[in-house]
Formats: sequence, C-alpha cells, structure tokens
Amino acid sequence: MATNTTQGTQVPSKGGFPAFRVETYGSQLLWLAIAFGLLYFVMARFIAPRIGGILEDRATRISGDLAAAQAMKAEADAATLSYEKALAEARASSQAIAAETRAKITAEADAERKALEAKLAADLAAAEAQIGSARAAAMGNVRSIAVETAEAIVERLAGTGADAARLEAAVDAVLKR
Amino acid sequence: MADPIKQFELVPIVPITIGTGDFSFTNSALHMFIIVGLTAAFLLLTTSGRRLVPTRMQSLAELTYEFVAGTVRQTAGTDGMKFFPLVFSLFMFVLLANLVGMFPGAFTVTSHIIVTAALAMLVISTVIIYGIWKHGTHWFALFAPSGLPKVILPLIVVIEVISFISRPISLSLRLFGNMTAGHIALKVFAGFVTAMAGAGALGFIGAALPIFMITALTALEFLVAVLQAYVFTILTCIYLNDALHPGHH
Amino acid sequence: MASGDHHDGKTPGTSLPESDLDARRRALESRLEAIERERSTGAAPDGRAAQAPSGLVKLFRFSADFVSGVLAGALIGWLVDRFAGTRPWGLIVFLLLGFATGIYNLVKSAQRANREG
Repeated sequence: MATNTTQGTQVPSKGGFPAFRVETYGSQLLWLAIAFGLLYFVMARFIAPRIGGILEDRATRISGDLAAAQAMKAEADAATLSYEKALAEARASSQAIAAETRAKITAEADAERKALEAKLAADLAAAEAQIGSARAAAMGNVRSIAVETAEAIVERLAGTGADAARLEAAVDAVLKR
Repeated sequence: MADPIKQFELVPIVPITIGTGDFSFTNSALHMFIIVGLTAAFLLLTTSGRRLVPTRMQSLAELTYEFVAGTVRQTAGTDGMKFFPLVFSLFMFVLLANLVGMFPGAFTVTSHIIVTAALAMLVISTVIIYGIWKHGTHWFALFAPSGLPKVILPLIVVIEVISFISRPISLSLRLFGNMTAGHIALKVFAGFVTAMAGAGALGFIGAALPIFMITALTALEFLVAVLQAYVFTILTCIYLNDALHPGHH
Repeated sequence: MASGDHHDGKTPGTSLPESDLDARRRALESRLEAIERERSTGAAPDGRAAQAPSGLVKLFRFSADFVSGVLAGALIGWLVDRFAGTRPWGLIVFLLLGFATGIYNLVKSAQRANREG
C-alpha cells in the first residue's frame, strides 16, 4: 500500500483529505463517466427490457389464466344450468310417460275385462240355451214315457187298450201342472 | 491500518496522463468497473432463464427491479418510467458502491465527493434539460409557486432558486458524508481493537468492547449503505418529478 | 327387491359427486372473486414495494436539507463576489438567503412527509 502510494502521482499532494484533492477529480470523473455510461447502456439495452419483459409476460400470463379460469367457470355454470334443465325436462317427461303408461294399461285392462265379460255372457247364454233344449228334450221324453206308462197301467188294470188320444191329453194336463 | 484516512486514498494502477491532466486508472476506477460488472452479472445472469416461475435469484432480481420501479411510479408517476433505466442504474451503482466498500481492503467509490457530486449533477442536468425541452419556459414556473402575495414573490423565487441549487449539494453531500463518516468510524474502532489486542492479556479483555462496537457499527453501516442508496434514488425521483410535472407542488 | 337394490346403489353414486362438483364450483367462484378483488386493489397503489419511507429514511433526507441550503447560499455568494467583485457582501447576503432556504427546504420536506403520511 505504502510503496504504491509513494510511486503514485498523488505523492506531491499527500496533504489533505483524499476526497478534497482536486487533482484526482479528472481521473475519477473520466472513469465514472465510462463506467456509469457502460452501466446505463447495459441497463437500458438489456437489463430493464428483459426484467420488464419477464414481469409483463407473467402479468399477461396470470391475467390470461385468470380469464381462462373465469371462462371455464362460466362454462361449468352453463353446463350445470343445462344439466339441471335437462334433469327437470327428463323428470317431467318421465312423469308424462308414467301417466301415459298408466292410462294405457288401464285402458287395456278395461278392454280385456269387457271382452271377458262379453265372452262370459255369451257362454252363459249358450249354456242356458243348451240347458233349455236339454230340458225340452227331457220333457219330451218324459211325456212319451208317461203316455206309454199310462197306457201300460190302463191295460193292466182295465185289461183293454185305452184310447190313446185321451191318454195323451191326460198326461199333458198333468205335465202342465 | 492505524490511519483511518488511508482507505480513501486513490492508488493509480495504470498511470495515464493526457496533456497535463492525470487520468490514471486507479483503484477507484477498478471498483467502479467491479460495481458495473456485479450489477450486470446479478441482473442478467439471474434472469437469463426468463422463467415464468422465477428461481430464488431471479425473484431477487425481479424484486429489486419492482422496488425501484415502484418508487419511480409512486414518486414521479407512470410517465416517470421513461427515466427508469437512469434511476435503476443510479440505485444499483450507489447501492453496490456502498456495499462493496464494506469489504475490508475494498475502496468505497461513493466516499469521494466528486463521484457523488457527478451523480447528483447528472440527475439535476437531466431534470433541467428534460424540463426545458419538454415544457419550454413554462418549466421555470417551478420557481414561482402560485398563490403567493406579489410582495414576497421575488424573495420566494430567489429562495426557490437557491433551494434548487442546494439539491445536488444535498444529494451529493449526504451520500458522501454518510459513507465517509461511517467508514472512518469503522476504521477507528478497528484500530482500537488491534491496538488493544497488541497490548497483551489485559488488552484482549479491553478489546471485547470495541469488537462489540465494531459489530454493531458494521450492521449499522450496512443499513446506512442500503438506506443511502434508497434515499438517493427517492430524491432522484422527486427531482425528476419536477422535470415531468413542474408546478405540482 | 331387485329394482330397490339397483336404486340404492345408484343414489349415492350419482348424487355424491354431483354435490361435490357443486361445492368445488362454488369454491372456485369465491377464489376467483378473491383474486380479482386482490388484483384490482393491488393495482391501484402502483408500487406496494415502495411503502412509505421509514423514519430513518426521513431523518437522512431532512438532515442534509438544511445544511445544503446554507451551502448553496454560500456557493452562490462566493461566485457573485468573485465575478462581481462585491466581496464580502455577496457572501453575507446569500449566506442569509441560504439560511432561509435551509429552513424553507425543511418546511417543504416536512409538508411532503406529512402528505405522504
């Protein structure tokens, strides 16, 4: 340090505070101008644009992401809304279908029941007719049997043949009772 | 070591003489380039990735940028951002000059009045030249506050002019004074410590107090180094505001 | 029975994620709103990093204001004396004016500091 100073150009003016030695000002000003000029150049040309750019990129990215998030949220809201609407529609239509089905089933059952009743009525009528004819036939048989029996009884009791016409009339009178 | 003034001595490294003037490349010049190199390295290397999600160092660089940009916007308005490279350069230069000077054996560029005065004059010249270029003669309304009685107006104008001239003086003296005084105090206490320690066993005990003092002083000096850079920056912004918006007082 | 089982299996299967989705959607909404609010308020005071300077900063700013006013007065006085040959009157007058400027500087700085809060 000491040897350096003695070799230096400031040796003659050793006295006084270093900061107030005017003869050093030229050198300091020159090198300050060069160094600070360089710093300003690098700052204005490279550093400030780069960091400013990074910050701006980030700001636009963040606001872009936020906008995207907002849009997606709006989309989700719309989807929820349409989902709820579809759900309500489906519920309504399912109710309609149920009502329709119920009506249809009721109608079908009604028709079936009516057909069944008609069939039953027809069957009943047929059966009644059959019974009627069977009864008529049976009645016919009874008459002839009664006439014959009466003829036989009269013959056995009277020993003579009875008048057929009178016999039949008598049987018919009894049968009519 | 004993001489606390020694640290301010300029030592030529490459003697250069132009005409009769001495323009030697000195330890001061070397430290100026170290400051510029450190600034560029810090701000360029950490941001070379241009990461959207910053690394720790990149976010430190961004934080520094945002801090200065915020100061400029808050003090000089959004149109003050056209001076941002100048203000950021000044901030980084003063901050690193102050901090680099804290290292033992390092030279404090800002402990020389001519350097702080040159930086202050740079600011004031920018204010004057830009103010006149932008606002013409209206810029001189800066010296005549409105709403004053005509009687005292001339006095106020004179005082305003002196006040304007006092700005670069205040700007440069504050920085120079703080850096010089702090470093002298540090060196004086360091001298105490070595002197005490050299005085034997009793001296070691006696050195304890100065060591404590030197630790506290060093912490204070770091604080002062950062604060002075900030004060220089915010005053620069206040003065630049006058160039941009004269009459906004 | 079989249809009942099917129904029981289906009800938690559809309604749970549905309510879950709904809750998530609502959470997203509130979070987006919070971010939006933060951004709109954060954008107004432009540099929140540059908060109001601390007392120490103010102290440093004020300390030199007065002295620099006096020094500026002295400088102007000295220059006037040198070029107009009015020694020592220029120095005396401008030193007084410098004194006034020092006080004026202090008042202005204090006003500005008060305005900044």
